[in-house]
Amino acid sequence: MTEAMRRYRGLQGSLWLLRWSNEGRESAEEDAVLDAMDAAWADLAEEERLRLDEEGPRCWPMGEAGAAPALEDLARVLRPEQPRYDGFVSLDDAIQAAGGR
Amino acid sequence: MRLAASTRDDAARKLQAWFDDVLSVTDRSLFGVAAAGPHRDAVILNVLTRNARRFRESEVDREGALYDPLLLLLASACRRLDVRLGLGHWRAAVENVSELSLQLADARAASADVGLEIGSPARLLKEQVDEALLRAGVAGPPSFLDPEGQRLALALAVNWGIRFLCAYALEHTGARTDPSRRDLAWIRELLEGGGAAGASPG
Repeated sequence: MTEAMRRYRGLQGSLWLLRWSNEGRESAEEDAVLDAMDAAWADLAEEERLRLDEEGPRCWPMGEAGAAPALEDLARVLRPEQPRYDGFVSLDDAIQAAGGR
Repeated sequence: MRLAASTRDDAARKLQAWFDDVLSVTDRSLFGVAAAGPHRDAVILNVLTRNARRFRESEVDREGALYDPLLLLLASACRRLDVRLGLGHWRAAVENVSELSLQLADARAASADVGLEIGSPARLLKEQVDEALLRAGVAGPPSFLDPEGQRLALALAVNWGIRFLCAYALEHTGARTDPSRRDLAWIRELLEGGGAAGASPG
């Protein structure tokens, strides 16, 4: 998945969640998300736009059951959190801290 | 089962009032024992994770064993998301399950011809709920999604969860023992268009 598609899928999820929280009604909060979706759409490749067109709308939670974001897309779209290792110092950090390089 | 629009609206209105009461009861008896703030958040998360695990580890049955864990996970998820399920949520759930039941009745007959068991509506919807709970990181294994993704997955779990509840009720075989009790058998009667008379104050 390209970075642009990843961004677009993430915004689709955000829009769905906003509308779902508002019982399917549009709200002023979604304007910013829709603007960001327009910008993300412009960055998509032609075949990605075609694929999204074929899928149909995915952001209307009160519509057909299939209008929810697909979970398999969710997993690919949303960036996993980087694991944090408290107290761990990488070799590079250790070298830099010691004044090397 | 294709319900008339007026029956669907009536069922959705009664389900909304019923779930508001479920939330009110769980607030008083479970979540309200801790003061609002981090302690209450911890209680809500605890109820959510325990019941999400119970739900996910259980098979779909016809006796209603999933009713308690499902209600507790739905109530705690709504509190965690700070969302109230309104008439629109319930109407969409009732309509979706009504359509899905019809579609699957045809598909199941066709699949039986080739020896394939595709499962009941409740079984198919439970798979969606299970997967969403897993992605939300509340059903045992850690989720690899970021906090926003986990929030979206939890909302999807509630979205599929109320659909599962409707489908599960329709497959429930238990009889209503008390006409004032709004339980799984009451939900089944509502969805079958029986009206479940006198059961809801809403």
